[in-house]
Amino acid sequence: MAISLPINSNNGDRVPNLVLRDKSKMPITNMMKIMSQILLNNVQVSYDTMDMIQQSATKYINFVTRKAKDRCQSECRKIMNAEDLLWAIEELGFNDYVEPLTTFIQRYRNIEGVDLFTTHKEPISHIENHGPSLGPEPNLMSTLEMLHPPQPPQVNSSQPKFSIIPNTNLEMLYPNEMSSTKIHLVLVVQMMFSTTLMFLLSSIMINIEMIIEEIQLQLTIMAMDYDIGNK
Amino acid sequence: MDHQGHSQNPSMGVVGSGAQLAYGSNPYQPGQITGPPGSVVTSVGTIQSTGQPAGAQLGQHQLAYQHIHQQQQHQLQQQLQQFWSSQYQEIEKVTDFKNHSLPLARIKKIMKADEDVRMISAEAPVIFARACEMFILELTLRSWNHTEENKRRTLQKNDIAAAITRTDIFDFLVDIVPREDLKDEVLASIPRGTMPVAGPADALPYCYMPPQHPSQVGAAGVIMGKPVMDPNMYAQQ
Repeated sequence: MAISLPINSNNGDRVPNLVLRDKSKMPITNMMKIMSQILLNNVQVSYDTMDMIQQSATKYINFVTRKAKDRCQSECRKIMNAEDLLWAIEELGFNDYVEPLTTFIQRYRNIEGVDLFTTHKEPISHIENHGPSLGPEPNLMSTLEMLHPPQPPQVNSSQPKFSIIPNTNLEMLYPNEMSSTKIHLVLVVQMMFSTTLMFLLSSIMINIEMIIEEIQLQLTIMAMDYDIGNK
Repeated sequence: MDHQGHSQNPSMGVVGSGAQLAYGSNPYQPGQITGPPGSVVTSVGTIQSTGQPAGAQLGQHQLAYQHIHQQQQHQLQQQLQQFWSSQYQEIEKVTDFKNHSLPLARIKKIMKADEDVRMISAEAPVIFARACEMFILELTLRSWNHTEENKRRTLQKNDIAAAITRTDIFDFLVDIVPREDLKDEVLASIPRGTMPVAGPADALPYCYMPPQHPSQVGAAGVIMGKPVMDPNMYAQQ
């Protein structure tokens, strides 16, 4: 359990950086809470004493870490784990610490293991992105097919409202050269066609309603004639 | 440091007991520390045989001092046993492993102060958080034992120095003990009238930092059990 003198000399020579002094040591507030567990409430601790215990805790970590590093290097391992620390703590003479820490790490692994298992069971949600270029193509083809047959361009080419159709023909002849402006024009034609179709359907519905009313009137008259004939 | 191997029997002989106490008694052999009354009588006989001035008053003082010292050592052993059993029970009851008493990031940073340490597993700082807590508690308990010996209510630096000097496993902390505190501890642990010259000689092998300014105990006192004052006192850090 004896410590060689050069190690202490090296530790003494190392002067901590004043700027990073606070961050390179254990926080005093946490240590005071730990110490209050074992001291009475009316006990006073001087500032120098807290500083000394702070240095002691920091040196303890460096001391055990250096010993654990020896074991890692002897076994050609690069990752320092809990077993290395437990071995170092026992080698350095802190025998009373080993049994409580072993129990502690076993219970920690049991709980952490459950947490990891639960984390892996979480459902993975994935949103598939639809290609925007696939949508308008079928509509475009159906629009072109519906526009072309009922209205031949040769007969009605002189009227102004049908001047859009020649552009459509050009688009059919040169599909690769379609630009954003022409695509926009096709969409406008599609909207006009849809509007016209809606108007026609509305008119048909109105006509049907008128016919139904007329039929009901005729039936009523026939019924009245039948009653008069009987009397 | 080689003398640590000979601290197995601190109760044998007055000279041996005095010299070995300077390096800290062995806390793991209570049978040896708390010797039977026969060994005390033997010690007194040794004093007389060596030709030291042995009056009845000096003999009684020596006997009373050793008795008180052994009583305090026995009390410390009981406190330590109670401490470790409570630690074991406390660990059995731990259910929250997310909140640690010490920040893991800080522990990891201190571990990486060594340039050769590059990769650390996630469990290592968790182990260190608990081990460091035990270390602080044990150091505080041993220091408080020295405070009670001197009939004081304030934990001072010389109490920490005494705990470090008396415990073998705390030898790695010797370089942070100021020279003044160590001298006081060496003189206090050696009974009067038995080789006072050995004190400074034993202190030479250690390396000490330069003497620091005397601590202002009254001005910078901190009352434990009142966490509200924590930020006010240590806000500067």
